[in-house]
Amino acid sequence: MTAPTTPETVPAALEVRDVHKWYGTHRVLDGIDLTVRPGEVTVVIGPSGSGKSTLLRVVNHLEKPEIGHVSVGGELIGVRRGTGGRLKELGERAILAQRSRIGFVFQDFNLFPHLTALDNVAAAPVATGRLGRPEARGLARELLTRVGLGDRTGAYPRQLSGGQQQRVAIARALALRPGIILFDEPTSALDPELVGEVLSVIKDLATSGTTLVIVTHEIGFAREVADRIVFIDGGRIVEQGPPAEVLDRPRHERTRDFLARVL
Amino acid sequence: MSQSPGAAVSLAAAPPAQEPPKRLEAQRVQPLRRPGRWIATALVLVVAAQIVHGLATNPFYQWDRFRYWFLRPTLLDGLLVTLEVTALSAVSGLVGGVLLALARQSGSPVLRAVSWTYTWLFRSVPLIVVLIFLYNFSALYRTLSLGIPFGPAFVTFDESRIATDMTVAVIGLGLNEAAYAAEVVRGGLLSVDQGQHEAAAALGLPRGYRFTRIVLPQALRSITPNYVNQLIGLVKSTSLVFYVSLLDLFGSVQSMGSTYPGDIVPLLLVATVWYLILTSAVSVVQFYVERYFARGATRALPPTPLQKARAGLGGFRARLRGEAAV
Repeated sequence: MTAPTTPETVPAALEVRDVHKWYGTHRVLDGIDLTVRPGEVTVVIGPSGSGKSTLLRVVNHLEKPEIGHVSVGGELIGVRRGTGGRLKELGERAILAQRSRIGFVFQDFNLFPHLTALDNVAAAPVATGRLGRPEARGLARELLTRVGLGDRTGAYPRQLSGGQQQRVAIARALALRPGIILFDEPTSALDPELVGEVLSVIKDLATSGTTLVIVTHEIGFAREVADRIVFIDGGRIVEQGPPAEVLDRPRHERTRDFLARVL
Repeated sequence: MSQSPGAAVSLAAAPPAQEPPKRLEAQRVQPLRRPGRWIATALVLVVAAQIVHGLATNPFYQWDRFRYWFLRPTLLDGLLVTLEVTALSAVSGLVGGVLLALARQSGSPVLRAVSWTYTWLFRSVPLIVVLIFLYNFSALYRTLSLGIPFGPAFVTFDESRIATDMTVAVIGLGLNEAAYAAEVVRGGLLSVDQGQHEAAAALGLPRGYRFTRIVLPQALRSITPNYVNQLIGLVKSTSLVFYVSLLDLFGSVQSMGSTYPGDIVPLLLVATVWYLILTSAVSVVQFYVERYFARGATRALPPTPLQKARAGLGGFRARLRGEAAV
């Protein structure tokens, strides 16, 4: 554990400090700073290739930032402070333990196709040694009921619709009781008529006080659930603020252009 | 379901309000007639019948001698050796193959290079050469010792003592098998979607769990048919151990053949039939293993032959009843 950067207050749910990430000469993230308070719902919008997804993947260390660091609940992710304040990479075990406290929902669900919905949800609590098998299955049944799939626990992912699969994936992320959940375009791979059922599950989470960071193209949904909208372009945060500000009175030319194209 | 010839005509004119089943029957598309297919089928059947007739009646095959040799203990001993060599080298080959495949995907360039070189070497050298090489190995290295590399030895073996014909055969086949199995396993691991690795990593699943419970079960679906192919090749490759003086099925047939030169054809037939039986057994196991790993990969599992037979019989009965009703 490392000391929170602002020790006098409750640590931020998520803190991203001056994060740079590049592939070869291509800069994907170019100095991102972001603070998310506990219970806050942050929606990240921006054109394709702007670095939104990479930002989420840096948060749970699926991608390593070249410069800068991320902390979740006051704990540095993927690195620790060594002697002299230099950052040192953590071992795999420690990183995996950190990831299990951060929920991640993928664009194309990535459910385990050889496991039933129930086992998809129960796998992680058992594998990480948090729960015994019967308890994990009980929890899985409860979570699947919560996302409206209490009657499909025995189904394999390919027997479910896209919307149902994504709801299983959300239940799977919830099974580890994460302090924060990251959604990477959760409805982009869905048929239009299935988008609603997934958004309503996310909306329930948002109102229950879970800290969420959501990358999405659903501007209407963003307006509805977001405490804050973050607009990213070219690997930088162009502007951020409450939906009423960013969506209705954008201050920057690029935000206006983007909104004009998607709305 | 019955069909009256008038139904189609009345539908073509104007569909009157009839009871639904008849109308559906009339709407069914008549399949295209394929006379060429029937002629080809008949020709093939004639040729097949000729071959079977020839096999049964040609005195050259000496089926009475086949019956005499088929269950002879000498040949059954050979069969046991074949089974033993196959089983041992299949297991050691698969274990070696998994390790080589993992080394090939490792972050260490040395491990990757070693794995690549091993596969390159053993896929390039003919199996028979490997076997005879190993057979003469004890002449090259008199003793084998276990200890600190380049340092003192803890245990020393007399090479000629442990290098029995069976060990030489199993090691040779296992080394060769591992090189091919490595590629089969690697192909299987590559076939698993990258998203699966990411999802497992994002959930914080430990490395061992990720490999054994998430990646491998999915990889096995494409590994199984390829590895079974490999296994069938192995069953037949075991016939080469004859050259390192191990009497397997082929070896005992060969040695009986030189003692009874007149029986060489029925003896070869015995070997053929036993190899057919072994391969068939492997194929049956393959079907059920593949079916097991298909869970979740297809919406409905393929029916077992028994289920297929039942369904087929059911359909046939229904058709009979339907025709009887006309």
